[in-house]
Amino acid sequence: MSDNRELDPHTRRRIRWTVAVLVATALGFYVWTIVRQMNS
Amino acid sequence: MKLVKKQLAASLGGLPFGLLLAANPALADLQLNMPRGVTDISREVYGLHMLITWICVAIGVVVFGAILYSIIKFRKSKGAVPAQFHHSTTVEIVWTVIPMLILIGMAVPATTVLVDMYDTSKSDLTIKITGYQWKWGYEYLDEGVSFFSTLSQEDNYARQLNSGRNVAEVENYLLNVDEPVVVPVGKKIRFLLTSNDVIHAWWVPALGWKKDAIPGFINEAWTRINEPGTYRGQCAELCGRDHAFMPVVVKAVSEQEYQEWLQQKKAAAGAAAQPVQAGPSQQGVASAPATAPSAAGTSAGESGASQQQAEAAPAQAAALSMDELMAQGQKVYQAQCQSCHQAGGEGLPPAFKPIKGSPIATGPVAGHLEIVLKGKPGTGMMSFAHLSDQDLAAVITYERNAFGNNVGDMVQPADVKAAR
Amino acid sequence: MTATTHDAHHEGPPSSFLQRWLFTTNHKDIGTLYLVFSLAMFFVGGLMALVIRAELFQPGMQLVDPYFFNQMTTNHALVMIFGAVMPAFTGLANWMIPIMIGAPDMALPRMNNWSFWLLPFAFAILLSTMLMPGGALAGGWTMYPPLMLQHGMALPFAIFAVHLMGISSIMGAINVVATILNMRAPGMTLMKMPLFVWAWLITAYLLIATMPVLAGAITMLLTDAFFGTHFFNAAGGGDPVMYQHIFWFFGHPEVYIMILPAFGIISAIIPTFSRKPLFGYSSMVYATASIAFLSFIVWAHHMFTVGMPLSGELFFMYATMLIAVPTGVKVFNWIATMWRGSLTFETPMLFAVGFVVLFTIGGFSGLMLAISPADFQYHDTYFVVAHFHYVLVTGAVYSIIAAAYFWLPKWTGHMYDERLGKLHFWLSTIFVNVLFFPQHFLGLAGMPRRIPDYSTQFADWNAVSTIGAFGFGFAQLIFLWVVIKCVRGGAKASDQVWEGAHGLEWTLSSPPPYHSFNEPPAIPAGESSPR
Repeated sequence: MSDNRELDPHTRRRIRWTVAVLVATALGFYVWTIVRQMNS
Repeated sequence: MKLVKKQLAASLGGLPFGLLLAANPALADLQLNMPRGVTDISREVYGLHMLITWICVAIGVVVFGAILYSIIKFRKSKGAVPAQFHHSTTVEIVWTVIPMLILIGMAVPATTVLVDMYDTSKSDLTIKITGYQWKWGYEYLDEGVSFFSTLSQEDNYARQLNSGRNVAEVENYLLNVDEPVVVPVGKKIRFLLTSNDVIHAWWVPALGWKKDAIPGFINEAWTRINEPGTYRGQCAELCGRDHAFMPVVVKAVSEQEYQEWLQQKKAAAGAAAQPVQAGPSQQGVASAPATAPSAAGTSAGESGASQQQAEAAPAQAAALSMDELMAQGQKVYQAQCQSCHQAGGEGLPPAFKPIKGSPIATGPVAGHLEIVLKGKPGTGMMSFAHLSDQDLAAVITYERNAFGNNVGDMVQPADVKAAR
Repeated sequence: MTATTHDAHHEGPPSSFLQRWLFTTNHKDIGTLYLVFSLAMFFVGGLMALVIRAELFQPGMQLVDPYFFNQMTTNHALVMIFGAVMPAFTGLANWMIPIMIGAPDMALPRMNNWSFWLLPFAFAILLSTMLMPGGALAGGWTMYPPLMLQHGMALPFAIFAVHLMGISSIMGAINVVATILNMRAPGMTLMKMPLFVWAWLITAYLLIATMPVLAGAITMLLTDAFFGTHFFNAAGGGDPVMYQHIFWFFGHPEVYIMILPAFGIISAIIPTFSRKPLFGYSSMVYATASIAFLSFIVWAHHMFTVGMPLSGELFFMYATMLIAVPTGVKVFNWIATMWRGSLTFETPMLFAVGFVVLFTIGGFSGLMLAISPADFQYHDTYFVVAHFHYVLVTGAVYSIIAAAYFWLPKWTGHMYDERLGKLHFWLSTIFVNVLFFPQHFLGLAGMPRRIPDYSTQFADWNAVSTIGAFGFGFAQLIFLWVVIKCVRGGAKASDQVWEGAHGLEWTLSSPPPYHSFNEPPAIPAGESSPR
């Protein structure tokens, strides 16, 4: 079964970084949407 | 071959469209185009619309022509051998720059018209428009005239599910009101728009614009109508169940007729005497002459009604019989309450509570009066304090005794007046 | 979730049905799940549309209560957007991206499974609101307050359902980016990727930026309704118009989310059936990126009548008009691809050419809508309804159907029935125009949108449109039959399937092995862009 076990460690680290940045981006947009409303 | 014919049909769709637009047929039922309208702005907007349409048709002819040509000329079945080119910087630049120039060509007149539409200065009169679920309120600031404008009773009846009425027989179906907005021709009229509950939008195509009516905000717009006539429009922002049933009717008349109409309105307002309240958080709005369920909003009917209003004022204290209350109450119910609470009083829970068997309608009169006069904030039940004492007395009596409620009591106009 | 007992060399799918479909981490199976789900939702949304058009067949109210009608319009849109179009594109992404870039699977296969299975759960909740007291949401899919706050039980459930759909999309998008950026076969540079992959890479960024904004907006709706906040309540110091700004900040990129993958699909199909490379590959990439960037700064063209200051109104008008430029570039490039090619018109090509013609018509009405003073007459009328249905039905949906015909032989190993496919195309195309073209006229004549009943002067075109709706709806049953028939059997498909097909996906067998590209393939050197 293809899963991350078959990818080399370098690629897996890069994938983790990509995911971390994108999750932070998504959360950031969510929080910003609400918080900017609270200060007005 | 079949393919070619069909593609021809598809891509030629644009051409007859363009040609027919130019012809602007008088066939109202198969109307293809926007009306030119009766204001300078509406004509400018129409001009912009036609300009962009023709530009799109022209581009369409070129683009669809190229596709059609390719489909016919470069078919493998005709022996076409594929070329291998796949880029050309020159061509790319050309077909980026030319569209940009076309866009600039469109943007310039559009900007001019928009700037013009935003200039509400130097107006001759101001009318405040308030959107309600589901009617419009109009207030002539500086004149002290205000009233509600609701879908006419005949239309309201015909549009009910399984009403049995053939709507084709109702003239201007869904575009009739009991009280139109009367304005003078040739004068610059400024509108202030707001709403009492949810977002609505006020639109009369013949005037050339629409504007949202937003609770807690005041929007501005203006118009100057060049030709006398009756112009009809509708609410243009989804506002709940009866969004389709709150039309706008504007009657443009000569200055003299307008002044006469104003005088009539002021006289009637004097008889019913209470100042108009403004703002979305206020519930009670009074002083409008009764939106009594007369058959249609003809001017003869209107002046008749306002005369009755003026005469009825001193007679308001007189008591009415149960039969009179029930008869009038049923008419008021049909015009004002039925669209939500339904013909049999069963409502549409949970949004629209039933009146049949309702604790309010079968409980103390004070509570029943309160909810009808004040409405219930946060729900679709608005205040009906703008109706006359007599109409309110009648409809409350009706509600308490119809639908099997049979409470047995009567509410008199004097009771309503005392409760305000 | 524990790894299964498969070892790395196991060839085929798991034998147990539940194991295979409920617990799959295989991009091909997940792609199939998305596509099947989306087809089912397409019919659900389509039924709602038929209720709408049936009521609108004649003036007067014949069939439904106006409030129920509003529930239909609202949920028709929610189902089609979040249940049919977006999952279909995601299904295509899952199936095709790994095999187009020579990767063994998506970067995060287990999250991939979750992304899919959230959807049936979310839609069960959304559709169940129709059975709740008070019915489903009826304030439009745009959910504007204060109207939206007049709702009963459906509101929190629907908001929860939309949150789940959003999370599914965001996770899917993260997976797409992580896969494309990190798992391309050596030698597959970014500028050698098929345009479908580029389109999805860019779309994924749009999703990650904007779905959270939608989530924020509906969270605030929820707290306004139940927790005493007044973000959007003027009486409490809030602003209902601010909701519109936030919603459309999501909403406009959302429509590009629904069309960029379509552009990618058409860019795969037209070169194949023209037997000629895509014209202007790099321009196509830059145009797609420009469209995505511009999509963030045009949102208020959905709000031209709200009472914005003049400068704002002008800015949004100019920015919106600008998007026509890169979009036009793409259309010209597709035509240039066909020009002096050697064309055949199998069903995928029919739908692709149909897309180019009909999407362009939708583009024209879009350009007209961009002109703010003219928009005052078009806004909230059937002119807008006509516009977005041209770009979404003859645009996005046509591209999805084209992709299905294009790739079904690869997925199943069988050729689909070409005669039935062509019949599906012609019936769809004739009826879709009968359905939507008259709606331009209705809007221009003055018919507002979201109304269950209308003045009698609108009767004739409404009747025509309804006939088109039923014709178009029934024509889609042909497609259902074609798909079922193809899955079950048909003429054997070769690896390449189509004479003009080029790309890594066409080097695999039809159907491809359950696990493909366990070893990265060799990318042919030399050409700077794919054919």
